[in-house]
Amino acid sequence: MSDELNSLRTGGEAAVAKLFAQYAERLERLVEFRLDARLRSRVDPSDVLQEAYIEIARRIRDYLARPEVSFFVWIRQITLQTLIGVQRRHFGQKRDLKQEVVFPNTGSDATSFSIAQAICAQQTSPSRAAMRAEEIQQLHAALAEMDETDREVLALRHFEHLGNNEVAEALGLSATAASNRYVRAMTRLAEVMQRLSP
Amino acid sequence: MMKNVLATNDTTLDERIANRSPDDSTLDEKPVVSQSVGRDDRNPVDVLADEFSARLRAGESPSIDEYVRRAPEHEAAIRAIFPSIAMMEGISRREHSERQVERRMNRLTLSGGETLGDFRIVREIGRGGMGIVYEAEQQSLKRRVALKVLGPAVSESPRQLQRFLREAESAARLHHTNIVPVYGIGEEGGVHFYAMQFIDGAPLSRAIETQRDRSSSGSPTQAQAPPEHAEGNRPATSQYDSPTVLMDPSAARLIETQDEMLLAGRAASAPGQNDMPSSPGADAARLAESLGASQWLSNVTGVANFQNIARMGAQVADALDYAHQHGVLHRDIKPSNLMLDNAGDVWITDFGLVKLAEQDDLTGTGDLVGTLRYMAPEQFEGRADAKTDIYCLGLTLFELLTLRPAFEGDQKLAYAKRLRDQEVPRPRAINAAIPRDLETIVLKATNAEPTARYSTAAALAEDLRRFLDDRPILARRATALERLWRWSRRNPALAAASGLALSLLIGIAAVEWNARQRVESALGETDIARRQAEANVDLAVDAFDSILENVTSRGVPTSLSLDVPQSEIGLARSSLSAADAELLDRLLGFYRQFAERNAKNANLRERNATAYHRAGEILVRLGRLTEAEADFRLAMELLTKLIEDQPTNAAFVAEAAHIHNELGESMLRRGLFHETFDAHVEARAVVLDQSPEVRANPEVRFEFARATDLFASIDVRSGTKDVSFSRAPESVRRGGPPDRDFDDRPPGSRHDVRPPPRDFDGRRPSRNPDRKPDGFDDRPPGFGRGDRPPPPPDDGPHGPDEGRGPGGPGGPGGPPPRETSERSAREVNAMPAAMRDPADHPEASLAEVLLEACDEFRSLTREFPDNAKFQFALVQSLRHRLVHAASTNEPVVACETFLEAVQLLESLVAKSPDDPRYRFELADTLTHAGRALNGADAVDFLQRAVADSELLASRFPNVTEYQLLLGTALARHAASQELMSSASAAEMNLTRAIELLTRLGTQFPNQGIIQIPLAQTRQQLGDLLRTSAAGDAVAPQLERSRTVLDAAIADFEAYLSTTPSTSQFNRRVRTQLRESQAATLARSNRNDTLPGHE
Repeated sequence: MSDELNSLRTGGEAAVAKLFAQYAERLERLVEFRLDARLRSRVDPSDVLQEAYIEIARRIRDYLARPEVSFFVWIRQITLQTLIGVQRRHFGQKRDLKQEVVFPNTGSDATSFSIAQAICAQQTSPSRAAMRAEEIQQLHAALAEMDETDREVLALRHFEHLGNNEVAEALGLSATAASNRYVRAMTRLAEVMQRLSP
Repeated sequence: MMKNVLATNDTTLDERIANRSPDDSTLDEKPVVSQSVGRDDRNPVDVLADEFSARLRAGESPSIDEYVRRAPEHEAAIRAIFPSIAMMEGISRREHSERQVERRMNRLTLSGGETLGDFRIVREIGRGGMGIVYEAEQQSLKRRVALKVLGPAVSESPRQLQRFLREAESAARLHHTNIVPVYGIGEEGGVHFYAMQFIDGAPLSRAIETQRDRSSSGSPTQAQAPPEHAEGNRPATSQYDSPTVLMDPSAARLIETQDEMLLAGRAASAPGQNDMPSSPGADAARLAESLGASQWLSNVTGVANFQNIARMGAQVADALDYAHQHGVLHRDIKPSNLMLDNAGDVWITDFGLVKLAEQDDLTGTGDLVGTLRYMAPEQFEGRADAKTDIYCLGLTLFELLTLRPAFEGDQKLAYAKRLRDQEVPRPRAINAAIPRDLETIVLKATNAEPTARYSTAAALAEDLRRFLDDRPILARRATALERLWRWSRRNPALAAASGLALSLLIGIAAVEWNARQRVESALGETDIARRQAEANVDLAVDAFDSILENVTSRGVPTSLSLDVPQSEIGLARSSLSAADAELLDRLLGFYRQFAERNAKNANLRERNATAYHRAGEILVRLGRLTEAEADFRLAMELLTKLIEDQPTNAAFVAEAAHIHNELGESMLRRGLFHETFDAHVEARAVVLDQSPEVRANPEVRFEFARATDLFASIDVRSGTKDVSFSRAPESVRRGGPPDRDFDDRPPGSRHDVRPPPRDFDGRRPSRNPDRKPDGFDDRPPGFGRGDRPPPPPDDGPHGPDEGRGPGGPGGPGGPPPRETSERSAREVNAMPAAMRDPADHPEASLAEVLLEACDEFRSLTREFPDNAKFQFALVQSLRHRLVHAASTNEPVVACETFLEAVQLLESLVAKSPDDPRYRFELADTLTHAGRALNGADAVDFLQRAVADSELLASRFPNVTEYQLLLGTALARHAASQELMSSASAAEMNLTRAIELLTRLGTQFPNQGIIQIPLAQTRQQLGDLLRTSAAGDAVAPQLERSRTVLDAAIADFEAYLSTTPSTSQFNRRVRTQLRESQAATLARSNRNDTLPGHE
């Protein structure tokens, strides 16, 4: 970590770009996962990343002056803000759209929604589609019943591929708390799944 | 607190954290910046889970057991959560890869001015599974083209790509005035595309819509869908005026499941050049275009319009024929793949290409529905040839003529209908103005049986031109017989088709049903999502019901196996094809699984009851009667609760009564007469318990009448009725009045059951001599009438009837089978007070009860003249009455009843010429002519009975029941001829009947239902040969009589040795055979001793 910070401090923008590229895959997952389905055909995650990168480059000096969180968690936060901004722009253009449908899909409330969207895009064989729809439906229902933060922990771990420490940072928890929350959430999910599939 | 933070759209948890200040109090837990945190700080299960996830991501398949071994102290936790982790990872992985595909697709998007090779994009005109279609300009040749850019589904699969290139090449070789020319295939930077001529016009699908809008509401934006679609669960919007709805993922999904034409950017529909919306602006432009092109449909009306359609059809058929001759199939002819240009000519697009993308991934339900709508029956089995294209063109013509798809309705119906009615409806039934010849052409092209279609597309084109030229067309209208024949032929196709659909449906039903309860709270779009889930479940279940109905409505007629003695020997199984039996087995699995899965869910009680009910019905068809009864009882348990909860719901009461009746029929087939009584009495009791309002419900009335009918006809249906007929000795009989003799003819083939009248009463067959006298205790809990005590077995109000001696009122027409008079007392006592008191005049009373049923059926048919079920029940009831009347010597009643039944059946057959049940019932009823009419009249009807059953037997050579019916008809016809002194004609018929029955007998050596009629028919022939022997022929005739009877005895003994049943009936048949043999021997001896006498 301090290695990262050191290289950023000494390496200039090239170092930022290099580290960013290193994390880009996971950031892309974040955007993929949280991008509102209605915007998928118009917004390419790489555009969001690009915009986020510009913002990162603009603010890197401030960050390095007073790093509160690890570099990845910081750029993840910026990416998320960028995504929110992008969605707001799109939905803002079309008021009617916004009124008619659910909120943009960036909040934790929407986490389960994101997963449920997978149902809508079945491109597999009929039986596999059915199997898969089942899994997703059940998962979705289970998630909807859970505590918001627990749910977020699960999403960060499994959909954004964050490690426990990163989750802890991103959600402002201690590593132990995050870890316990994860096990608790997973147990809860498993219970609900059990109940859902007799 | 967290919830409040998250409740607003604009400030999410992440955002909060992203924006938090260093002294934010939420940071009390002290975020850890350094990665040096030891694993000790973490939950040990989490550490393992993390590793497990990482390995899954790396493509490994780590075993859970391994982790249990490594950390046995956490076994419970590991086993509890690791499967869910694996599932999460699986979903996450697939999500990711799907998004990737989507993005690659999006990257194929080009905007105006961009170039791809030689092509400069003008605008996007559509997108679908295959890719995106653009209007473009080929710069080198300065020509306008439609450029189709292949999506990743094709371009990234080497196999698909190769196939595509091959197909595209062959399509490119097609040069026909009505085929959109493919200019070439290209690739640039990994993007594959092909260019074809740009057709200025619109796909026929759009022209049809436009026309439909004009002809219906007059509003161009509201009437996209046919009226059936507008029934509430579909937003009334068009693809032009409401991008909002299309943007909404759930709404979009809902729409596309109903009409694949409205798909937005999804890979279900085969895109023609112009059939997908891109942007509102382009939509408007294309709307204008389509209005221009569709003037060819809409500006002409009446005759001119039909001429125009025929002309377009001929163009397409010509083009298809040309392509077929070049070995190219289209595989997906439908309105959206036919372009109508502004000159009014039609062009076929996308030759052989479209199916490529779909073949390997028939996707979600919506796609399948859309696909089903335009599929030829053989395509369900994965076959396609030139006839397939002809069929699909036929469907297109149908749609052009009627402005609606041949298979339509809401999604449920579209689905179920395709599985059930493969027959295209008659266009003229929708629009009577359609010329009859054009209808004939469409029906021939869309025949479910490929061999019955036009043999080539050229032949179809030729007939369309004949129509245009006002010359007689070559297609003939299918006769009822042909339809019947076809009906029998296409069943295997159905079974195969169902294989594909079944696996999908089972998945949907099981899944959605379960999810259904949760969806509401889970998904944001409450209503849409819930309706979608419900629709999917209902769709699946209804499709199953349709398949079941299809399977069960064919083959075995309702009455036969009951109308013959030895009724426990059902032939149900034998008359099912192996494919059907397997199909039924799978359906059974579905219903059972469904019911078991949801056993505890009170909300699903109704569906579960139905599922058990269906399972029971299937088991009956499979001949697994005991299991069937168990399922019926489970259904009854649920229904009893349902009725308690909702006493005003008549449907539950009707279903409960219906199940009791089915239980009764199953019991009868097992020979459990006492229980049969019980069941029908229960059916009545269920109804009698209800309020007058519920009792007035037609379905409830129907089931009540049916219970009454079945109750009062047990004797007839079990065959015991007929054995009770008193018979005059042969000498008297032969001289007696012919109608009297005919009265004695029993159903089935028991033509010569001639027990001495006084002997018979105590010898009624009983299937189950060991049965406990009181069967009530055997009933499982929950079955029956709840807390009402069963009727007392011995001291009921009717009293025992042991006082009735042989030949007494308990004789002909009397109460049902019993082996002793004590038994009979129990049977009678089993009747509730609700029944007519049969103690005083059991015979008259049963007849009267039956009359009550007949009258109720008659009222129902009068009130609901279109209800075939009611009429059919009336017919069966009439036949029961006929037997009663004949046995109680009421010739006038018998005759009237017979004629009424025949007349009703004739009208049923005329109304549904394709339904063999009615034909069977008619033929079967006709064989009873001898009971109702005098000799000469009877002969005419019996002649018809033979002709009708011959038809059925030849059309359905594998249905044992029809063969048996033919045997019966022949034998009865012979009996009537014998009475009319046409001994030689009678002999011929009997010989044929015996041949036929012998063949069946070899097939089913241990089936009394065949062996008994066979023995009796042989006896009839033996007797005929003996009694008609005269002149020089006496000796050879007697010799033949002896041979026939010897064979009869030998075969019957062989049969008896295979069956454990030692029923009175079998014994009596054997006695009769021996008596006939003795008579023949006696006469031979007399003949020998008096050589010169003759």
